[in-house]
Parts: sequence; C-alpha cells; structure tokens
Amino acid sequence: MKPIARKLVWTVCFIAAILTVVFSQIELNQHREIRFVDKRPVFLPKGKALAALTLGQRSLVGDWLWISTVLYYGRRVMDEDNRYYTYAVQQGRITEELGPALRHPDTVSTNPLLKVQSDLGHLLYRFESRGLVGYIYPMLDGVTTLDPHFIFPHVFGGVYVLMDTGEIDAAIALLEKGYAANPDSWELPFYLGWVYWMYKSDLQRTYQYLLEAMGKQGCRKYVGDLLRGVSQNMNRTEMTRIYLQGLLESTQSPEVKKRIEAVLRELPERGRQ
Amino acid sequence: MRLCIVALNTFKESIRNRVMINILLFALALILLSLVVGDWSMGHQVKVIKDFGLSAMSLFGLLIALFIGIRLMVQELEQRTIYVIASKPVRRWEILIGKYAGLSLTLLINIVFMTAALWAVGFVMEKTIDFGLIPAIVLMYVEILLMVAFALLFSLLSSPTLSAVFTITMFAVGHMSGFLRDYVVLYPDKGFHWLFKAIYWVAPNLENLNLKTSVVEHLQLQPHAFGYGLLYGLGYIFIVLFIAVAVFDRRDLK
Repeated sequence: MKPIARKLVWTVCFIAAILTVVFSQIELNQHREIRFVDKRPVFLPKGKALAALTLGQRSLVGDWLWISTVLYYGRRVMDEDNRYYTYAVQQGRITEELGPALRHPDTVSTNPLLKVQSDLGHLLYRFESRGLVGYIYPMLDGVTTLDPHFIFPHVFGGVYVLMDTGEIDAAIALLEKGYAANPDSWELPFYLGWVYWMYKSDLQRTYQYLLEAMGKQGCRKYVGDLLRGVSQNMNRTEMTRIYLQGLLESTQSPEVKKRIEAVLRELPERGRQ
Repeated sequence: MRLCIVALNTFKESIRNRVMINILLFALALILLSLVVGDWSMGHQVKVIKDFGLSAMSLFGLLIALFIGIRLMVQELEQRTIYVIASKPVRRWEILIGKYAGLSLTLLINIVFMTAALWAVGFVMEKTIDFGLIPAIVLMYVEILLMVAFALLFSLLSSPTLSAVFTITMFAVGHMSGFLRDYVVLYPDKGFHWLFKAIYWVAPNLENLNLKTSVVEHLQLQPHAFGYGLLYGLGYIFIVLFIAVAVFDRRDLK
C-alpha cells in the first residue's frame, strides 16, 4: 500500500474511533438518570472493630466518619436543600421514585393531654425520610463509638434525625449512650427529656431527666422553668416553646436551627387558640 | 508476525518483573484479607468481600499500568536498546503496539489469577461461584488497558515521574467526570459549566467502564451498559494508541 493511501486509511480509522467514542457516550447518557433515591448499601465497619484499627487516630477517623454521615444524610433526606430531591420533584418523578423505597412511619400514640403534639405533628412528626436513610443510626453509632465525647452527633441523631425518621427508640438509645459517656453534660439529659416528653408522652421520665440536667454545671435557667412546668402541670404549648427555645439556644447547627425556628414560628398562634 | 514477536518478548520480560509479581501477590493477599474485612461489616459480608476484591483488582491494575506501562518504552530509550530493535526490519508502530500487546497479555493473566482468587474466596462464603461478576471484570480489564495506553503516551511525552502524575490524574478525572455532568444538571445556577462539559467530553469517562456496583448488587444490567461501555473503551484505547504511535513515529532516535 502506498504511504499516502496508508495515511488515509489510518486517518479514517482515527476519525471512526472518535465517532465511536462520542456515539457510545451519547447512547450511554440517554440511559443515565440522576436519581434521588439512593439505596446503595454503605460500607460501615462495626464501631468497635473500627476503633481497634485507627492506630491511635480515633478522633480523626471519627471526624471522617462524621463527615461521611452528614454527606450520606444530606444526599438522601427529603429536604428542600437537597438538590437531588428538588431535581426529582422538578422532573415530576418523586412519587415514582419514592414508591418502593419509602417505609411508612409507625403511628406514634399521642397523649390527649398534650394537644400540642398533634398541633405540631406536621413539623415534629414528619418522618418522611424513613426508609431512605436506613444507615444513619448505625453510622452515628460508629461515630460516637470512636469519639464518645463528641456531643453533637448524639444530638443530631437524637433530635434532628428523629424528626425525619421517627426512629424514636434508636434516637433514645443514641442519647442515652452519649449521656453514659458524658455524665457531666446537662444537654444530653435535657434532650432525653424532650424526646420522652414529645415523642413518648412519658412525663415521669421527662421529669427525672430534667431534674438530672438541673444538677449539672452550666445548666440553663429555662431547664428549671421546664421542670416547674412538668411538676405544676404548666400550659403545654408554653412548655413546648421553652423547650424549643432551649434546643435552639444549645445548637450551633444551621439546619437544626432552621427546623426549630420553623416550629417556633407556628407555636405562638397555636398557643393563643 | 513481527508485532507478535515484540509482544511475546515483552510478555516474557514483564512476567519476570519482580515489581509486578509483588503487586500481584499483594493483590491476592488483599483479596484474601477481604474475608476479614467482610466480617466487620454489618450483615453485608459477601457484598463487602466482592467490593473489596473488585476494587483491589482495579487499583492494582492501575499500579501495574503505572509501574510497568511507564517503564515499557522509557527503559528501552534510557538503556538505548531501542536502537537495536529499531535497526531490525520492524516498523516503529509495530514496536509500540507489540509492547502494548505483550503487557496487555500479562495483565490478562493477572486479572485471571485475581478473578480466580476472588471466586475462591466467594466460594468459601457462598458455596457458589458468582459468574455474574464477569461483565464488570471485562470492563475493568478494558479500563486498565486504557490506563496503560495513557501511561505509554505520557511516557513518550514527558519524564517517568510526570507520566505517573498525569496517568493518576487521568484516572481520577475519569472517575469524576460523571459527577461533573450531574453537577451541571443539579446546580444550573453555579458557574464553570463550560469547563465541566469540556472535561466530560474530552477526558475518558471511566464510569462507563465501571459495572462493579451493578454486578455486586445483582442489579439488572442494562443491555446497552456492557456493549456500549466496551465499544467506548476500545474506541478510546485506539485513539490514545494512535496518538502514541504518531508521537513515537516523529521522535528523533538519533
């Protein structure tokens, strides 16, 4: 074959290869969708096994796992800040995607005396994301096993995640684990009191935890107000407001603040009813 | 014929390479270690073993591409043995493609060994051999061949160290380009879309060759995913090798 003919053949082959690559990419793109529901299992070592493998860098590995946990939650939760969620809504695919993935929440029995529970149910009992973030509590357990004195993951799981998932027992277990590791903290019994009051309607436990919180150094004044409220049968809405303001004050997380502020905005109107 | 002789020689040479033997043994050890790692996972032991094994195969394939692929031509040029080969009645493209083919054969044997090890470990756990992993392993082999082609091209254009940096960068960008495409769709209000689109279309999209999650999760493989993935990978290898041949053809060996 003459050199010019050979060059021509190779040039044609080269162009054909480029066209093949572009064509395959276009074909593959047509079948590729951005999905909100992400059910890929997460590789998560058991917390104790991971602790043994950190080679003295427990806090660092704990931080890495914490960041992974936040990213995992942010990517999968039904929240307007999650672009994957808003994109699925915009595309009109959300119902179709959620169908097989979502687990319907268990019904939480509300105490008829705590009317505020049902009034605020749409905010505090959303439980929308149950079934979408199934690994969140095991992940938080891993984080808190590696770094038991890192308070915020306990609060994140015990208060904030609970509003989205309704996993009440898992939330209580996480807060109690944190309290056992940090017995001097007044926040953890305060949050435990909140969960028992709002989600379990257990006034006796609430009273006990608030009492314990009161005995800790640094405890805020509103815990005393709450304690009086529980013992003197205070107006329930007023108690919820004090509790929520306490939660708002004690958290640094913008997401948690945003959620609590939303509840508080509705509360005064309900209180006047 | 001449191409086959070069390929066979490269194969014999690389199969005796101690670095490669060490990498292969380390990969096999890691696949066995996945038995332990799997035990730490929470109820996903078999899945973790397969994930771990496939990732070990992929990453060690990349290491071989780096260590052997870059040295493939550099060694001949540095030790000046290329003059001996070039003085024979053999064309330059035959030398380059022959060497590439020889290393590809070595890599194929490595992949077969590692697959056998992974199946053996899987058999211990499941009492069955998961042949469903084959599509992912075939595309993984194509991905490694593509990385070798890039390593070869970069080694002809720059120093071995820079070639390693460029190859690793290509691997990283290749696996991130799918995310760049999603980013453009999900964040239409953010900037640099033109750049992300350019990277997406020019850099190899290695996620097209990644079926690991699908086969491990036993997700139904879309018929197009394997076929077009294979076509994409082979097309890309041809392009990179074509450029490498053109560069080598113009290289002054005097």
